[in-house]
Amino acid sequence: MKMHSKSNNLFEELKSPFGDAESFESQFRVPNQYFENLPNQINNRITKPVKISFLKNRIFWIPAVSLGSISLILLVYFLPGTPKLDETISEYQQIVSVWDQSYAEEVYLNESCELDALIAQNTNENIGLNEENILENVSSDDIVNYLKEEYNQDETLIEE
Amino acid sequence: MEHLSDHELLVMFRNEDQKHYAFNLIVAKYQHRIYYFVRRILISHEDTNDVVQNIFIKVWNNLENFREDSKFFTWLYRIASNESISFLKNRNLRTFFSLSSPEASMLNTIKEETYIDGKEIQQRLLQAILKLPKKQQLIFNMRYFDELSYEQISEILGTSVGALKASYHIAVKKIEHFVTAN
Repeated sequence: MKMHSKSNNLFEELKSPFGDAESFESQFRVPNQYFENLPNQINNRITKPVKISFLKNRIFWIPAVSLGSISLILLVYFLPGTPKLDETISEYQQIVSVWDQSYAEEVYLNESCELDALIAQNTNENIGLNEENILENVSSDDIVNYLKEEYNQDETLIEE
Repeated sequence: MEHLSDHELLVMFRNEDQKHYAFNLIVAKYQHRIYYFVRRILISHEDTNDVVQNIFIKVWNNLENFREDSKFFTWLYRIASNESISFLKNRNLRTFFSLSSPEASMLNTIKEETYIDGKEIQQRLLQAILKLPKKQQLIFNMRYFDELSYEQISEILGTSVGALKASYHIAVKKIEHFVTAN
């Protein structure tokens, strides 16, 4: 590699005292065998792609699929909160209980008593379901502003 | 095997069986030029070593997608320029709260670095180059040391030939002023 030698007065003036490029580069000392070892260092850092051809082999995927299925079944069965067979009421028992007249009557009476008690306690209490009350203190401007806000929420925020 | 052209090396690289071999030939062919190109910017051997390895790993990862719209050599220099500049930017961020500026620490490295052993006049030239803005440094180095034409530098940096000539001219003036003043 030689120093650029185009006719440029400034360049020529500079060139002479500094020597050529090789001389300039020689001031950068490099560890011994650096360039001999560099390709190996780079090769060691290159990530080799994972070969996936083994996935096509039945010997791999049949046991893998079987193992996965069994694991999934066991996971669902032993997952906390999953009702176990011995703890659940059978479908037959459920049907019987619905059609058990005494049971149904008991539930009905129980619920009606609870409702009566609630009504007696809260007859004058405003539970917020009266539409007239909800919009009582809302002006038309409030509604317009609300609609504007709702509309603006869909706009994309400007990224700065 | 250094006589193989870039195109021949790329053809070899695209052949899966010869990929690693072709890549090693590419590294062997360009490692000196790229190393010294980066070293003139970063000064420290350790930093240069990291960046040079990153450059060639980037080449390995992207060479399959290289369509030869530009010359391989130009593409390689563009990667080297980007990697060197981004390394400097990251280092500047890391040393933001440091007492000494990165430029000052590089100038110190010239004096203290174990691996630097040059004539005084050459060290002054190096100091003068380091005083230039980063892009001007690249332009000066490519033109002065690597003997690239303005057209090649234009392709690497995406700057017009006229702007490059002006930048190089100003860089030479600045260096001349620095060297004579010191």
